Amino acid sequence: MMKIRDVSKHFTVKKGSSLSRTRQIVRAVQNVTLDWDLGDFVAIVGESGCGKSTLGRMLAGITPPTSGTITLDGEILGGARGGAQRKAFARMAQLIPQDPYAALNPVRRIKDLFYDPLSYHKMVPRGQIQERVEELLTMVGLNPANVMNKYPNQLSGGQRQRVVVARALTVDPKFLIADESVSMVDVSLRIGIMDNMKAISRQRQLGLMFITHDFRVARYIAQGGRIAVMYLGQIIEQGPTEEVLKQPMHPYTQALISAVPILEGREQRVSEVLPKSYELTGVVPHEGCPFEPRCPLATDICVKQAPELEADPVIAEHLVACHFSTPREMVRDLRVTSA
Amino acid sequence: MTKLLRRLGISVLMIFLVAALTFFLIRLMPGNPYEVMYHQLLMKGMSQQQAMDQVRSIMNAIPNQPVLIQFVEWLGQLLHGNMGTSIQETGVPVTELVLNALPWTLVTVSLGLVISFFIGILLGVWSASRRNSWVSGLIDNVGSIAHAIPAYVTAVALLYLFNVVWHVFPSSGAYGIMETPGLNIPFLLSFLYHIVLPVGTYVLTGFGSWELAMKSTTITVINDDFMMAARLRGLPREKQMRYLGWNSILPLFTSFMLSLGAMFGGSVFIEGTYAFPGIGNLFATAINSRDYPVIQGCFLLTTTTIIVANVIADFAYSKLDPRIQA
Repeated sequence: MMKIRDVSKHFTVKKGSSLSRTRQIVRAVQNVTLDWDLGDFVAIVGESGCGKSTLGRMLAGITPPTSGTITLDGEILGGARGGAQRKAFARMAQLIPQDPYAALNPVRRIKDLFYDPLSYHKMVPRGQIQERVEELLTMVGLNPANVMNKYPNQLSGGQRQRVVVARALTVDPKFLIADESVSMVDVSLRIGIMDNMKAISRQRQLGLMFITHDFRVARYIAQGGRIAVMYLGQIIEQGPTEEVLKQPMHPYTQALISAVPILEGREQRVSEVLPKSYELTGVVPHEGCPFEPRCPLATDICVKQAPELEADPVIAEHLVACHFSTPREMVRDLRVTSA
Repeated sequence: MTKLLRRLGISVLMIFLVAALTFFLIRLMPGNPYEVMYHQLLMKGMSQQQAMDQVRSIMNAIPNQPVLIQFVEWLGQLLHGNMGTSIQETGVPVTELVLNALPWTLVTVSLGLVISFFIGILLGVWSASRRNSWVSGLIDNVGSIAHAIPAYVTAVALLYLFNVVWHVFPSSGAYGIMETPGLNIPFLLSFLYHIVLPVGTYVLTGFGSWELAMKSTTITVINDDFMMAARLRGLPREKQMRYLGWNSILPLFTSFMLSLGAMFGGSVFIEGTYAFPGIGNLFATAINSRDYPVIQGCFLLTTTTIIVANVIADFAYSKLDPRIQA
């Protein structure tokens, strides 16, 4: 069980020339609290720049949080910078990076990519490394004989992404964090890779977190799991996937769903919430609700007071941070209603 | 294999073209060797008549033929390994002059290149890893300034400081007058002692560009996802550094091989300053006295070095980096 409590990450950004340099603090992630169990499928949804990747990197232990704690089975994970702790953490959580073209060392053959982590972590006896590599490659749906001795540049994008997934599994992690892991892959290949990730995670009872900006990907991955919607570093809505999609309560979530194209004939748009602006506003409010500048429902109270993430009175697992949260049906699935 | 042969064929053609070009270009230079020699003899204190007679007797060797026929003849001789004889050092074959000078230059230039490359690589990685602190700025600035100062200025400065002011290193020559060149320890020690300043000049003027190039490639690679993947998997630091180093040095490899030729050119100034008996010095003297055969010999040698280095670099690179297919 991974317990994420009030985790924040602030970056200091230097601006201007070396003579007149001003420091600005960017709050990439703010007070995120989340429970994540083995076998739990979680989708983190948000637009670019909302801090979802930073959250993923913190959970994978390569970016230490500024404040807050991440505990794993009751053990607090510090910065995870030291070699020994880093080594131990590596076997708990692994991140699957977004770009399969940049994620593979270009001068090493595919089997060499697996060799180092397998031997360093002593995952299998030396003599069985070859076998283990073949097993991992087969697991992600590749033909080991075809790819083992190739260099990354000789593989297609889809194959590379599968190799990246297989490599994350070399150290037998308990938690898998996929950071936009299919966004660089051809749409036609996405389902295959996502199915593969889901099947592996289910089979090994892994916690799978999928970070994405795409609600359809989130829905597909987190079927029966949970969705957390992030906005400017904060979780603003969180709940069971089907619940959040059927009746989103936060105007931001509603706006995001309004932006997803619907399948004419199969789905029907019931209502739409449009933000005041389609781009992030320059000003980030320090007090009040972060979504206030773009929110169509905002009033004075939103400027003055930040809403807390609170449970919905009806469904306790559905949390939302909004003064004016109302469940709203956005899209109706015609196949379900007619059946 | 056919690719290799084709590459070699093209290289030979290129060497021929360069040879032809130098042959004709040199003959376009203003002034002629007769006059130059005449004036030099006058300066040595000969009377005009004496000087004229001597020039005639020496220059008899130069055929009074059209340039094109000279060229064909010269080319034929070249194919037999004969680059003619020097005009200044009458009767000495150019091949002998060039081959005597070559080892000195080859050793100093290669040493200078290798040392500056390694210093540059180390500083570049160091600068990249400290890229947010003043250390990086200091290294980069020192590197650019050292690189920006012309080699001949650096050479004179080093000569002044280490010879004139502090009397630490010798001012000229490649070895002490008491030593006999060959594989004996006193000679080798004396040689090393004598090349400290020339090699130091190559290093000082060369390491800056390596440092800056290495820093930029390292920063690119350090941010690549596969480096993050190595950290994610908790691989030890040595292993990560190996991934990082290998991927960052690769792009520098070609320019490393090519700069061997560039440094041959640079040796003209540096060897002149240190009166070093290498190709650069030979070249400079030959140009000053319009010693056509020697100039051609030096040109030919330098271009051949560059072209050969280029071919080796191409083939080695395709072996080192799997993304490049030979």
